[in-house]
Amino acid sequence: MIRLENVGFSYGNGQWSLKDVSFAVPAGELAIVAGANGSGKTTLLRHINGLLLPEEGRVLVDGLCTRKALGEVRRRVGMVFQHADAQIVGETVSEDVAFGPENLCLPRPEIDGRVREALDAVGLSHKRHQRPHLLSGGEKRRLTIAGIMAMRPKVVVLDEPFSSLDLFGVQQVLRQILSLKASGCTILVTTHDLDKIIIHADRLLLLHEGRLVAAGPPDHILPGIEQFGVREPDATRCGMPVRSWLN
Amino acid sequence: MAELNLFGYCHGRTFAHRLDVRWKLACLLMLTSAVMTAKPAAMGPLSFGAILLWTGLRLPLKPFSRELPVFLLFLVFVFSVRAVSTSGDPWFSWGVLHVTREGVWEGGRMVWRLLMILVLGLIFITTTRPADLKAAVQWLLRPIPLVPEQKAATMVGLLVRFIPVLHQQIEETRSALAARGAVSRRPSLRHIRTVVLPTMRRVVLAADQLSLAMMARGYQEKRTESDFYTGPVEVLALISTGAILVGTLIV
Repeated sequence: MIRLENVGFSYGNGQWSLKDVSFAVPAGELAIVAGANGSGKTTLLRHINGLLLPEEGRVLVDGLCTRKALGEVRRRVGMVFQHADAQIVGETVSEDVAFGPENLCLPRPEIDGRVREALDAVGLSHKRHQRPHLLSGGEKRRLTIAGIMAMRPKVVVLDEPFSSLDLFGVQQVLRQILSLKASGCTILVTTHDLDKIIIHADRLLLLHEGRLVAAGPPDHILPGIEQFGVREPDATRCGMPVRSWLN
Repeated sequence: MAELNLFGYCHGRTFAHRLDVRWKLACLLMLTSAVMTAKPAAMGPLSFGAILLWTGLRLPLKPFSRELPVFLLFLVFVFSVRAVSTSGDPWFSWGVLHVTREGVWEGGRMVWRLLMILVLGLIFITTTRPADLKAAVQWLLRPIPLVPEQKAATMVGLLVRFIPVLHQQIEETRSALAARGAVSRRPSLRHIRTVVLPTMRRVVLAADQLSLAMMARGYQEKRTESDFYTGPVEVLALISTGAILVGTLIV
Protein backbone atom coordinates (compact mmCIF):
# COMPACT_ATOMS: atom_id res chain seq x y z
CA MET A 1 0.00 0.00 0.00
CA ILE A 2 2.77 2.45 0.97
CA ARG A 3 6.14 2.17 -0.69
CA LEU A 4 9.10 4.54 -0.42
CA GLU A 5 12.04 4.01 -2.76
CA ASN A 6 15.33 5.74 -1.90
CA VAL A 7 13.57 8.90 -0.79
CA GLY A 8 15.72 11.94 -0.08
CA PHE A 9 14.58 15.41 0.95
CA SER A 10 16.24 18.60 2.17
CA TYR A 11 14.66 21.83 3.43
CA GLY A 12 17.48 23.73 1.74
CA ASN A 13 19.65 24.19 4.82
CA GLY A 14 22.44 22.02 3.49
CA GLN A 15 21.33 18.97 5.47
CA TRP A 16 19.27 16.00 4.38
CA SER A 17 16.07 15.70 6.43
CA LEU A 18 15.51 12.34 4.78
CA LYS A 19 18.19 10.36 2.99
CA ASP A 20 17.91 7.10 1.11
CA VAL A 21 14.75 6.01 2.94
CA SER A 22 13.13 2.85 1.56
CA PHE A 23 10.42 0.69 3.07
CA ALA A 24 7.02 -0.78 2.34
CA VAL A 25 3.92 -1.13 4.49
CA PRO A 26 1.36 -3.65 3.20
CA ALA A 27 -2.37 -2.83 3.17
CA GLY A 28 -4.16 -3.10 6.51
CA GLU A 29 -1.03 -2.90 8.65
CA LEU A 30 -0.37 -0.54 11.52
CA ALA A 31 3.21 0.70 11.36
CA ILE A 32 4.97 2.94 13.84
CA VAL A 33 7.65 5.42 12.82
CA ALA A 34 9.84 6.10 15.85
CA GLY A 35 12.79 8.39 16.26
CA ALA A 36 14.21 11.20 18.36
CA ASN A 37 13.21 14.82 17.85
CA GLY A 38 14.43 16.07 14.48
CA SER A 39 14.92 12.56 13.10
CA GLY A 40 12.59 13.27 10.15
CA LYS A 41 9.34 11.63 11.29
CA THR A 42 7.04 14.52 10.37
CA THR A 43 8.89 15.13 7.11
CA LEU A 44 8.37 11.46 6.24
CA LEU A 45 4.61 11.64 6.94
CA ARG A 46 4.25 14.75 4.82
CA HIS A 47 5.76 12.86 1.91
CA ILE A 48 3.12 10.15 2.15
CA ASN A 49 0.29 12.71 2.00
CA GLY A 50 2.05 14.59 -0.80
CA LEU A 51 2.47 17.79 1.20
CA LEU A 52 6.16 17.40 0.42
CA LEU A 53 7.56 15.84 -2.73
CA PRO A 54 10.85 13.96 -2.63
CA GLU A 55 13.97 15.43 -4.20
CA GLU A 56 15.31 11.93 -4.69
CA GLY A 57 13.49 8.65 -5.13
CA ARG A 58 9.72 8.29 -5.13
CA VAL A 59 6.74 7.68 -2.88
CA LEU A 60 4.00 5.31 -4.00
CA VAL A 61 0.60 4.99 -2.34
CA ASP A 62 -1.71 2.30 -3.63
CA GLY A 63 0.55 2.16 -6.68
CA LEU A 64 0.22 5.91 -7.36
CA CYS A 65 3.29 8.13 -7.37
CA THR A 66 2.86 11.32 -5.31
CA ARG A 67 4.70 13.29 -7.96
CA LYS A 68 2.40 12.19 -10.79
CA ALA A 69 -1.00 11.75 -9.11
CA LEU A 70 -0.99 14.19 -6.21
CA GLY A 71 -4.76 14.75 -6.09
CA GLU A 72 -5.53 11.04 -6.18
CA VAL A 73 -2.94 10.35 -3.47
CA ARG A 74 -4.47 12.99 -1.18
CA ARG A 75 -7.88 11.41 -1.65
CA ARG A 76 -6.42 8.12 -0.46
CA VAL A 77 -4.29 9.42 2.41
CA GLY A 78 -5.74 11.19 5.42
CA MET A 79 -3.29 13.02 7.65
CA VAL A 80 -3.73 13.94 11.31
CA PHE A 81 -1.34 16.73 12.30
CA GLN A 82 0.63 16.88 15.53
CA HIS A 83 -1.08 20.09 16.62
CA ALA A 84 -4.82 19.58 16.31
CA ASP A 85 -5.47 23.34 16.26
CA ALA A 86 -3.47 23.65 13.06
CA GLN A 87 -5.76 21.19 11.31
CA ILE A 88 -9.11 22.68 12.27
CA VAL A 89 -10.52 24.78 9.44
CA GLY A 90 -14.26 24.83 10.21
CA GLU A 91 -16.21 27.28 12.35
CA THR A 92 -18.20 24.50 13.98
CA VAL A 93 -17.37 20.86 14.71
CA SER A 94 -19.67 19.49 12.00
CA GLU A 95 -18.48 22.10 9.48
CA ASP A 96 -14.90 21.05 10.10
CA VAL A 97 -15.69 17.37 9.52
CA ALA A 98 -17.57 18.31 6.33
CA PHE A 99 -14.56 20.17 4.90
CA GLY A 100 -12.86 17.04 3.48
CA PRO A 101 -15.97 15.48 1.89
CA GLU A 102 -16.82 18.88 0.36
CA ASN A 103 -13.41 18.83 -1.33
CA LEU A 104 -14.34 15.42 -2.75
CA CYS A 105 -17.34 17.16 -4.42
CA LEU A 106 -19.81 14.74 -2.84
CA PRO A 107 -23.53 15.57 -2.91
CA ARG A 108 -24.77 17.39 0.22
CA PRO A 109 -26.92 14.51 1.59
CA GLU A 110 -23.94 12.17 1.45
CA ILE A 111 -21.71 14.76 3.14
CA ASP A 112 -24.26 15.13 5.93
CA GLY A 113 -24.43 11.36 6.33
CA ARG A 114 -20.66 11.01 6.50
CA VAL A 115 -20.39 13.84 9.02
CA ARG A 116 -23.00 12.22 11.26
CA GLU A 117 -21.31 8.84 10.99
CA ALA A 118 -17.81 10.19 11.72
CA LEU A 119 -18.97 12.25 14.70
CA ASP A 120 -20.86 9.26 16.11
CA ALA A 121 -17.73 7.14 15.74
CA VAL A 122 -15.57 9.53 17.75
CA GLY A 123 -18.29 10.39 20.27
CA LEU A 124 -18.62 14.06 19.38
CA SER A 125 -22.17 14.12 18.00
CA HIS A 126 -23.44 16.11 20.97
CA LYS A 127 -20.89 18.86 20.25
CA ARG A 128 -21.47 19.13 16.52
CA HIS A 129 -22.57 22.79 16.69
CA GLN A 130 -19.82 23.89 19.06
CA ARG A 131 -16.81 25.96 18.02
CA PRO A 132 -13.87 23.56 17.59
CA HIS A 133 -11.47 25.84 19.43
CA LEU A 134 -13.52 25.42 22.60
CA LEU A 135 -13.02 21.65 22.71
CA SER A 136 -10.55 19.98 25.06
CA GLY A 137 -7.22 18.66 23.74
CA GLY A 138 -8.49 15.07 23.49
CA GLU A 139 -11.71 16.17 21.80
CA LYS A 140 -9.79 18.24 19.26
CA ARG A 141 -7.63 15.23 18.40
CA ARG A 142 -10.77 13.10 17.98
CA LEU A 143 -12.28 15.82 15.81
CA THR A 144 -9.27 15.77 13.50
CA ILE A 145 -9.62 11.99 13.23
CA ALA A 146 -13.34 12.40 12.46
CA GLY A 147 -12.42 14.88 9.72
CA ILE A 148 -10.21 12.21 8.17
CA MET A 149 -12.71 9.38 8.67
CA ALA A 150 -15.38 11.33 6.78
CA MET A 151 -13.11 11.27 3.72
CA ARG A 152 -12.92 7.46 3.97
CA PRO A 153 -9.23 7.21 3.09
CA LYS A 154 -7.38 3.96 2.49
CA VAL A 155 -4.34 5.20 4.41
CA VAL A 156 -4.25 7.26 7.59
CA VAL A 157 -1.05 8.85 8.85
CA LEU A 158 -0.98 10.33 12.34
CA ASP A 159 1.76 12.64 13.59
CA GLU A 160 2.37 12.22 17.34
CA PRO A 161 -1.30 11.52 18.06
CA PHE A 162 -0.78 11.03 21.81
CA SER A 163 1.22 14.17 22.59
CA SER A 164 -0.23 16.38 25.36
CA LEU A 165 -3.08 13.96 26.11
CA ASP A 166 -4.10 12.58 29.50
CA LEU A 167 -4.85 8.88 30.08
CA PHE A 168 -8.45 9.10 28.89
CA GLY A 169 -7.44 11.17 25.89
CA VAL A 170 -4.81 8.57 24.91
CA GLN A 171 -7.35 5.77 25.30
CA GLN A 172 -9.94 7.56 23.17
CA VAL A 173 -7.48 8.25 20.37
CA LEU A 174 -6.06 4.73 20.57
CA ARG A 175 -9.57 3.28 20.20
CA GLN A 176 -10.10 5.39 17.08
CA ILE A 177 -6.82 4.22 15.58
CA LEU A 178 -7.68 0.57 16.22
CA SER A 179 -11.16 1.11 14.84
CA LEU A 180 -9.66 2.56 11.64
CA LYS A 181 -7.35 -0.46 11.41
CA ALA A 182 -10.27 -2.83 11.91
CA SER A 183 -12.07 -1.11 9.04
CA GLY A 184 -9.16 -2.02 6.75
CA CYS A 185 -7.14 1.21 6.74
CA THR A 186 -3.37 1.14 6.51
CA ILE A 187 -2.04 3.22 9.36
CA LEU A 188 1.26 4.96 9.98
CA VAL A 189 1.84 6.57 13.35
CA THR A 190 4.85 8.64 14.37
CA THR A 191 5.82 8.69 18.01
CA HIS A 192 8.80 8.56 20.32
CA ASP A 193 6.54 7.27 23.08
CA LEU A 194 6.22 3.60 22.17
CA ASP A 195 4.56 2.44 25.40
CA LYS A 196 1.14 3.60 24.29
CA ILE A 197 0.81 1.79 20.99
CA ILE A 198 3.62 -0.70 20.36
CA ILE A 199 1.50 -3.70 21.44
CA HIS A 200 -0.91 -2.99 18.56
CA ALA A 201 1.77 -2.40 15.90
CA ASP A 202 2.57 -4.83 13.10
CA ARG A 203 5.78 -3.06 12.11
CA LEU A 204 8.26 -0.62 13.61
CA LEU A 205 10.35 1.77 11.51
CA LEU A 206 13.21 3.55 13.24
CA LEU A 207 14.52 6.85 11.91
CA HIS A 208 17.78 8.45 12.97
CA GLU A 209 19.06 11.72 11.51
CA GLY A 210 16.89 11.27 8.42
CA ARG A 211 17.92 7.71 7.72
CA LEU A 212 15.96 4.53 8.24
CA VAL A 213 18.16 2.51 10.59
CA ALA A 214 15.79 -0.38 11.30
CA ALA A 215 12.49 -1.76 10.05
CA GLY A 216 10.61 -4.90 10.95
CA PRO A 217 8.50 -6.56 13.63
CA PRO A 218 8.63 -4.55 16.89
CA ASP A 219 10.08 -7.45 18.92
CA HIS A 220 13.14 -7.49 16.67
CA ILE A 221 13.74 -3.73 16.73
CA LEU A 222 13.07 -2.82 20.38
CA PRO A 223 16.29 -4.14 21.95
CA GLY A 224 18.93 -1.42 21.57
CA ILE A 225 16.44 1.22 20.42
CA GLU A 226 17.50 3.66 23.18
CA GLN A 227 20.79 4.45 21.43
CA PHE A 228 18.64 6.29 18.87
CA GLY A 229 16.90 8.50 21.45
CA VAL A 230 13.70 6.47 21.80
CA ARG A 231 12.78 5.04 25.18
CA GLU A 232 12.17 1.30 25.19
CA PRO A 233 8.82 0.39 26.78
CA ASP A 234 9.18 -0.29 30.51
CA ALA A 235 7.66 -3.76 30.18
CA THR A 236 10.17 -5.00 27.60
CA ARG A 237 13.04 -3.44 29.58
CA CYS A 238 11.96 -5.67 32.46
CA GLY A 239 11.49 -8.68 30.21
CA MET A 240 7.72 -8.62 30.65
CA PRO A 241 4.99 -8.65 27.99
CA VAL A 242 3.71 -5.20 26.97
CA ARG A 243 0.10 -4.44 27.98
CA SER A 244 -2.34 -2.32 26.03
CA TRP A 245 -3.32 1.07 27.41
CA LEU A 246 -6.89 0.05 26.78
CA ASN A 247 -6.77 -2.60 29.52
CA MET B 1 -9.29 26.44 26.18
CA ALA B 2 -9.72 29.21 23.69
CA GLU B 3 -12.00 32.07 24.58
CA LEU B 4 -14.89 33.25 22.47
CA ASN B 5 -14.10 36.35 20.51
CA LEU B 6 -16.29 38.83 18.77
CA PHE B 7 -15.32 38.23 15.19
CA GLY B 8 -16.56 34.73 14.62
CA TYR B 9 -19.62 32.73 13.76
CA CYS B 10 -21.79 31.65 16.73
CA HIS B 11 -24.02 28.70 16.01
CA GLY B 12 -27.72 29.26 16.58
CA ARG B 13 -31.15 28.37 15.26
CA THR B 14 -32.62 31.86 14.97
CA PHE B 15 -34.19 33.21 11.78
CA ALA B 16 -31.02 35.28 11.20
CA HIS B 17 -28.92 32.11 11.25
CA ARG B 18 -31.28 30.34 8.86
CA LEU B 19 -31.74 33.25 6.47
CA ASP B 20 -30.25 32.64 3.02
CA VAL B 21 -26.91 34.48 3.06
CA ARG B 22 -27.53 36.29 -0.26
CA TRP B 23 -30.69 37.93 1.06
CA LYS B 24 -29.11 38.48 4.45
CA LEU B 25 -26.37 40.43 2.69
CA ALA B 26 -28.99 42.47 0.82
CA CYS B 27 -30.80 43.18 4.11
CA LEU B 28 -27.53 44.30 5.69
CA LEU B 29 -26.86 46.68 2.79
CA MET B 30 -30.34 48.18 3.03
CA LEU B 31 -30.16 48.61 6.81
CA THR B 32 -26.69 50.15 6.57
CA SER B 33 -27.98 52.58 3.93
CA ALA B 34 -30.89 53.42 6.23
CA VAL B 35 -28.51 54.16 9.11
CA MET B 36 -26.24 56.30 6.93
CA THR B 37 -29.12 58.40 5.55
CA ALA B 38 -31.33 58.54 8.65
CA LYS B 39 -32.22 61.90 10.17
CA PRO B 40 -31.95 62.23 13.98
CA ALA B 41 -35.68 61.54 14.38
CA ALA B 42 -35.27 58.16 12.69
CA MET B 43 -32.09 57.17 14.54
CA GLY B 44 -33.94 56.48 17.80
CA PRO B 45 -36.35 53.86 16.36
CA LEU B 46 -33.51 52.35 14.27
CA SER B 47 -31.30 52.00 17.36
CA PHE B 48 -34.16 50.50 19.34
CA GLY B 49 -34.72 48.02 16.51
CA ALA B 50 -31.03 47.07 16.40
CA ILE B 51 -30.97 46.47 20.17
CA LEU B 52 -34.15 44.38 19.92
CA LEU B 53 -32.60 42.35 17.11
CA TRP B 54 -29.39 41.76 19.09
CA THR B 55 -31.21 40.64 22.22
CA GLY B 56 -33.81 38.68 20.25
CA LEU B 57 -31.05 36.70 18.56
CA ARG B 58 -29.52 35.96 21.99
CA LEU B 59 -26.06 36.82 20.78
CA PRO B 60 -23.37 36.82 23.49
CA LEU B 61 -22.80 40.19 25.15
CA LYS B 62 -19.61 39.34 27.03
CA PRO B 63 -17.25 39.36 24.02
CA PHE B 64 -18.88 42.57 22.82
CA SER B 65 -18.32 44.36 26.12
CA ARG B 66 -14.75 43.04 26.27
CA GLU B 67 -13.89 44.34 22.80
CA LEU B 68 -15.87 47.58 22.99
CA PRO B 69 -13.03 49.68 24.49
CA VAL B 70 -10.98 49.11 21.33
CA PHE B 71 -13.82 50.49 19.20
CA LEU B 72 -14.46 53.28 21.67
CA LEU B 73 -10.93 54.55 21.03
CA PHE B 74 -11.72 54.71 17.32
CA LEU B 75 -15.07 56.39 17.97
CA VAL B 76 -13.47 58.95 20.30
CA PHE B 77 -10.99 59.73 17.54
CA VAL B 78 -13.78 60.20 14.96
CA PHE B 79 -15.76 62.37 17.39
CA SER B 80 -12.73 64.55 18.21
CA VAL B 81 -11.84 65.13 14.56
CA ARG B 82 -15.43 66.10 13.75
CA ALA B 83 -15.70 68.33 16.79
CA VAL B 84 -12.66 70.43 15.89
CA SER B 85 -12.91 70.33 12.09
CA THR B 86 -16.54 71.42 11.65
CA SER B 87 -16.95 75.16 11.33
CA GLY B 88 -19.65 76.94 13.34
CA ASP B 89 -20.41 78.53 16.68
CA PRO B 90 -17.33 78.06 18.95
CA TRP B 91 -18.11 76.26 22.21
CA PHE B 92 -14.65 76.37 23.75
CA SER B 93 -11.05 76.68 22.55
CA TRP B 94 -7.90 74.83 23.49
CA GLY B 95 -4.85 76.44 21.94
CA VAL B 96 -5.33 76.46 18.17
CA LEU B 97 -8.17 73.95 18.40
CA HIS B 98 -11.71 75.33 18.42
CA VAL B 99 -14.53 72.98 19.35
CA THR B 100 -17.81 74.09 17.80
CA ARG B 101 -21.37 73.22 18.84
CA GLU B 102 -22.08 72.05 15.29
CA GLY B 103 -18.92 69.89 15.40
CA VAL B 104 -20.00 68.20 18.64
CA TRP B 105 -23.47 67.58 17.18
CA GLU B 106 -22.01 66.20 13.89
CA GLY B 107 -19.44 64.11 15.76
CA GLY B 108 -22.13 62.65 18.02
CA ARG B 109 -24.30 61.74 15.03
CA MET B 110 -21.37 60.16 13.19
CA VAL B 111 -20.36 58.09 16.23
CA TRP B 112 -23.95 56.95 16.69
CA ARG B 113 -24.14 55.86 13.04
CA LEU B 114 -20.82 54.01 13.24
CA LEU B 115 -21.90 52.23 16.41
CA MET B 116 -25.12 51.15 14.70
CA ILE B 117 -23.22 49.88 11.65
CA LEU B 118 -20.87 48.01 13.97
CA VAL B 119 -23.81 46.30 15.67
CA LEU B 120 -25.39 45.37 12.31
CA GLY B 121 -22.07 44.07 11.01
CA LEU B 122 -21.58 41.98 14.12
CA ILE B 123 -25.05 40.51 13.81
CA PHE B 124 -24.20 39.53 10.24
CA ILE B 125 -20.80 38.04 11.16
CA THR B 126 -22.00 36.11 14.18
CA THR B 127 -24.96 34.59 12.31
CA THR B 128 -23.20 33.75 9.02
CA ARG B 129 -20.92 30.78 8.42
CA PRO B 130 -17.80 31.79 6.46
CA ALA B 131 -18.49 28.92 4.05
CA ASP B 132 -21.92 30.43 3.27
CA LEU B 133 -20.40 33.88 2.83
CA LYS B 134 -17.85 32.45 0.42
CA ALA B 135 -20.62 30.77 -1.58
CA ALA B 136 -22.59 34.03 -1.68
CA VAL B 137 -19.60 36.05 -2.92
CA GLN B 138 -19.05 33.41 -5.59
CA TRP B 139 -22.72 33.63 -6.62
CA LEU B 140 -22.61 37.43 -6.78
CA LEU B 141 -19.42 37.49 -8.87
CA ARG B 142 -20.43 34.72 -11.28
CA PRO B 143 -22.21 36.97 -13.83
CA ILE B 144 -19.27 39.38 -14.02
CA PRO B 145 -17.01 38.46 -16.95
CA LEU B 146 -13.25 38.01 -16.49
CA VAL B 147 -13.57 37.80 -12.70
CA PRO B 148 -12.31 34.47 -11.28
CA GLU B 149 -15.23 34.15 -8.86
CA GLN B 150 -13.99 30.98 -7.16
CA LYS B 151 -10.57 32.49 -6.38
CA ALA B 152 -12.11 35.76 -5.18
CA ALA B 153 -14.65 33.95 -3.02
CA THR B 154 -11.94 31.74 -1.54
CA MET B 155 -9.94 34.85 -0.63
CA VAL B 156 -12.97 36.44 1.05
CA GLY B 157 -13.71 33.19 2.90
CA LEU B 158 -10.12 32.89 4.10
CA LEU B 159 -10.05 36.54 5.15
CA VAL B 160 -13.18 36.12 7.27
CA ARG B 161 -11.84 32.82 8.62
CA PHE B 162 -8.57 34.51 9.51
CA ILE B 163 -9.94 37.49 11.48
CA PRO B 164 -10.57 35.40 14.63
CA VAL B 165 -7.17 33.73 14.20
CA LEU B 166 -5.50 37.14 13.99
CA HIS B 167 -7.37 38.30 17.08
CA GLN B 168 -6.44 35.13 18.95
CA GLN B 169 -2.76 35.55 18.05
CA ILE B 170 -2.73 39.13 19.32
CA GLU B 171 -4.35 38.08 22.60
CA GLU B 172 -1.93 35.16 23.05
CA THR B 173 1.08 37.41 22.44
CA ARG B 174 -0.28 39.97 24.92
CA SER B 175 -0.92 37.25 27.52
CA ALA B 176 2.58 35.84 27.04
CA LEU B 177 4.06 39.33 27.53
CA ALA B 178 1.83 40.07 30.53
CA ALA B 179 2.91 36.78 32.12
CA ARG B 180 6.47 38.09 31.99
CA GLY B 181 5.59 41.48 33.41
CA ALA B 182 5.21 43.51 30.19
CA VAL B 183 1.77 45.05 30.68
CA SER B 184 2.06 48.37 28.85
CA ARG B 185 -0.32 48.82 25.92
CA ARG B 186 0.83 52.31 24.97
CA PRO B 187 1.88 52.60 21.34
CA SER B 188 5.65 52.93 21.19
CA LEU B 189 8.62 51.52 19.31
CA ARG B 190 9.10 49.01 22.13
CA HIS B 191 5.42 48.05 21.89
CA ILE B 192 5.83 47.46 18.14
CA ARG B 193 8.93 45.35 18.68
CA THR B 194 7.48 43.25 21.48
CA VAL B 195 3.86 42.86 20.35
CA VAL B 196 3.45 43.61 16.66
CA LEU B 197 6.46 41.74 15.29
CA PRO B 198 5.91 38.49 17.26
CA THR B 199 2.21 38.66 16.41
CA MET B 200 2.93 39.07 12.70
CA ARG B 201 5.33 36.15 12.84
CA ARG B 202 2.74 33.97 14.55
CA VAL B 203 0.07 35.03 12.09
CA VAL B 204 2.26 34.10 9.13
CA LEU B 205 3.01 30.72 10.72
CA ALA B 206 -0.69 30.17 11.46
CA ALA B 207 -1.54 31.04 7.84
CA ASP B 208 1.09 28.56 6.67
CA GLN B 209 -0.31 25.82 8.92
CA LEU B 210 -3.86 26.56 7.82
CA SER B 211 -2.93 26.26 4.15
CA LEU B 212 -1.08 22.99 4.84
CA ALA B 213 -4.11 21.62 6.67
CA MET B 214 -6.37 22.60 3.78
CA MET B 215 -4.06 21.02 1.22
CA ALA B 216 -3.77 17.84 3.30
CA ARG B 217 -7.55 17.52 3.18
CA GLY B 218 -7.62 17.87 -0.58
CA TYR B 219 -8.77 21.51 -0.83
CA GLN B 220 -9.63 22.60 -4.36
CA GLU B 221 -11.60 25.45 -5.87
CA LYS B 222 -14.20 23.11 -7.34
CA ARG B 223 -15.96 21.65 -4.31
CA THR B 224 -19.40 21.12 -2.88
CA GLU B 225 -20.71 24.55 -1.93
CA SER B 226 -23.43 25.64 0.48
CA ASP B 227 -26.99 25.28 -0.74
CA PHE B 228 -29.09 28.39 -1.36
CA TYR B 229 -32.75 28.56 -0.49
CA THR B 230 -35.30 31.32 -0.99
CA GLY B 231 -38.51 30.94 1.00
CA PRO B 232 -41.14 33.04 2.76
CA VAL B 233 -38.72 34.08 5.53
CA GLU B 234 -36.31 35.56 2.98
CA VAL B 235 -39.12 37.44 1.21
CA LEU B 236 -40.45 38.76 4.52
CA ALA B 237 -36.96 39.88 5.60
CA LEU B 238 -36.41 41.71 2.29
CA ILE B 239 -39.80 43.45 2.44
CA SER B 240 -39.26 44.48 6.08
CA THR B 241 -35.78 45.92 5.56
CA GLY B 242 -36.91 47.59 2.32
CA ALA B 243 -39.77 49.22 4.24
CA ILE B 244 -37.34 50.39 6.93
CA LEU B 245 -35.10 51.96 4.29
CA VAL B 246 -38.01 53.72 2.55
CA GLY B 247 -39.45 54.84 5.89
CA THR B 248 -36.10 56.27 6.94
CA LEU B 249 -35.77 58.19 3.68
CA ILE B 250 -39.27 59.64 4.08
CA VAL B 251 -38.80 60.63 7.74
